[in-house]
Amino acid sequence: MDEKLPESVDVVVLGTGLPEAILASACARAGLSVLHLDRNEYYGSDWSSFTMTMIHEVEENKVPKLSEEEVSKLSAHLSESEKLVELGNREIIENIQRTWIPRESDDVPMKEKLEKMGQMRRFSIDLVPKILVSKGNMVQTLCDSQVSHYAEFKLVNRQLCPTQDKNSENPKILLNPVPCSKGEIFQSNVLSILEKRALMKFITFCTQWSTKPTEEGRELLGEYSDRPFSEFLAQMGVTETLQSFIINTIGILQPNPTAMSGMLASCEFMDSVGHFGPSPFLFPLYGCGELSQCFCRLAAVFGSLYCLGRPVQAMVKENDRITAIIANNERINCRHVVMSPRFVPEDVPIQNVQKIERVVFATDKSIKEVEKEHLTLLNLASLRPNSTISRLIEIGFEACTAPKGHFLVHATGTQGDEKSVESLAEQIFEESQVSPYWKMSFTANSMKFDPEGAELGSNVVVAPPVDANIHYSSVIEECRKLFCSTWPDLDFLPRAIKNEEDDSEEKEASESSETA
Amino acid sequence: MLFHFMSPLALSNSYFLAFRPREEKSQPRLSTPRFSSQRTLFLTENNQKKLPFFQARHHWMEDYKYLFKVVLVGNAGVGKTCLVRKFTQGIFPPGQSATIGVDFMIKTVKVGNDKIKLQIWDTAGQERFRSITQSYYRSAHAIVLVYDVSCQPSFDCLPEWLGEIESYANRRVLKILVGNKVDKGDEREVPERIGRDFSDVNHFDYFLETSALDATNVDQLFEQVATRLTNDMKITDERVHQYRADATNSSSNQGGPIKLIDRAQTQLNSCCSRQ
Repeated sequence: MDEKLPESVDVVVLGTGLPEAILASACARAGLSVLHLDRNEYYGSDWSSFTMTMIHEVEENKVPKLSEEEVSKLSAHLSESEKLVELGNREIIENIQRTWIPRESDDVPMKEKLEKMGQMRRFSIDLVPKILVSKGNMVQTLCDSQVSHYAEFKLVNRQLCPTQDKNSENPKILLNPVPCSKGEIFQSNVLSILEKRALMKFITFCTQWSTKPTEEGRELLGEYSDRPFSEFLAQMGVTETLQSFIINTIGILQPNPTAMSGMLASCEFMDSVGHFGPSPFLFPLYGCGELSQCFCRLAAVFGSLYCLGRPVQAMVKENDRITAIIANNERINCRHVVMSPRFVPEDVPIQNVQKIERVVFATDKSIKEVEKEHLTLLNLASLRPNSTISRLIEIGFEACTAPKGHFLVHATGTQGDEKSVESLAEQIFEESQVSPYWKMSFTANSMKFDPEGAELGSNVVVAPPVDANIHYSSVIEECRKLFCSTWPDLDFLPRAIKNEEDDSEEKEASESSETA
Repeated sequence: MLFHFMSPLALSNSYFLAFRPREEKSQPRLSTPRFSSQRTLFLTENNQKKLPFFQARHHWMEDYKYLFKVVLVGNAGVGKTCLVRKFTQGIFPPGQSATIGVDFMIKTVKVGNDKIKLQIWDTAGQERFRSITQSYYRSAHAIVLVYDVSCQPSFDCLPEWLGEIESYANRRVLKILVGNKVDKGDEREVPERIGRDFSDVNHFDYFLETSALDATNVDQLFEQVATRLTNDMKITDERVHQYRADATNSSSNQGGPIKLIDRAQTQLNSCCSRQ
């Protein structure tokens, strides 16, 4: 079964996180020979999804440093002018804590109950949960590359906006469903008639505004363009509640918006409404970890070689280039190395780190129960005004990420001096009488390195780090930039051409659609 | 003379067909193995097309009753790709190179009077180091586990493959065990009885020995897959109808289990449901 790895390839990719997978698929698609290795036995690296039975593996990421004996052994693979470079083992995910929370209401502990019913494997716990914007560049890339064949999606069909009664002493957090499409606005019962009218007016304004060129759009906003979005909305006669709805829900794609960036975000949101359904956002079935696997499948279809559970022992450097890697005591020569930030050697200085606070809860009741199960997005920005990112995503059986009747609530926040997203989530649970039975918290480190840094090697591409953004735009964009600067004469995941493998019936179908 | 004898038979057959009461055209769709109230979405490459959605034609809008996803697994070199190509294209690819560039192939078969599309997926070479993505198994209606009857190690690996199937595939997936390369008569290392026993003990739904080289049982294999899946699906469909009827009687207007196949259809449906 265990074949030998090839002696030399164009590109070695280390780690199967989403950005590495995207880059691997782009390379394979462009005709480069690719060897994709992961030292874990599972796909996704720091972007993976785990079942409840496998989640402990997230902690088992430690790799001991090479002993002197190993170094001398590996040095046998080197020529005279080469030197050995040890891979880094950066703490991308740290301070992991997992607990089963005992509850009085359970006569049998939930863990036992789930194990007994074989439900533990029905969870899909994301390390990096995000949503896809229907008309965003991720969806576009998925469609163009036909990676979309490998995944299914559901609409994130409920956007909640939290409001607090400012007059009360211990203000409760109210969760208001925000209508996104005209139909929903009409049916909404959280808005007054006046607010509905104002919201319709705003949407009409958005539609007109989005057709204007940038400069004219800026002029239309006048003096407000670089002032907070809320001031602009107030001037339009939008009430405070509705302002919060617009800024935190319709404008969710842009944290802390100015009038200009808020308008752009709102237009992007409105533009995506109705593309796949009434909501502009999609969530991948079985969790976001699926996406990296889908890109890996595309890479494999185009000849990339996959090998999980294969740690790379060291890299070989000559002058300023990495000329080979050593895995399983085999030397594999390569022209380029793509690696996740996790493996960047220890001596390369970090440019900056953004700390992301992540908490996942497992519950058996929705934070806002209605008859039908929803995929819910809740922006907590108004409750943590000084932090960039604060949000909850509640997904369950509908998205195949939890057993029937169960939910995962993902809290994501950038760290600041305010209330943590964890405590906000707990307040919401308490007020809606939800008691989570399981909790995992960790810190994700979004690390950036100086791309010009000499220590790294001129043919090393460091994939973008995990980030707290709600969508995938920046990931795709950074991957595209990296790919295009490294291989300037190759196309980044170009549109798929129908190949000969397709059966004749499909061809007929596409021909007739052209003539239609 | 032979033709003369055959033609009345053929005639009577078509006669029968012509007078069969026409069945109502059911909506083509990729059937879901499980229930859900919201449809799932498939994105299509036609996403940004210029045509209005109702003019775009997709293969799933054609006249067929079901589309099933069938995935093949098994060790490298047992002949998975050859089986698929023999069945879908009628050719036995020469050479022994590992699979490159094959994603999935589609072939339409007839089960009774229904047109059934089989979407048959190959491993894309990821089995070489046992690195198949979990997502490969997801939403498969049938899994065909293949070994080589002339290669004992490929049979010995079956429990490992079963482990993967059990961890990642739908519990109700149709499992089929196939011993391939029966044309290699003298070189056989795994007797048929041993294969059949393994299939019985491990609750496979069907066991078959095939040869992609001389076409033994290849068509029969996939026809069995189609027939069994269709029969299962018809039973589920009846239940769904019942469920839908119940659902419409109650307050829900969610439209039962929906597989979001494609933007065209999705929009069509969402427009209707949004009023």
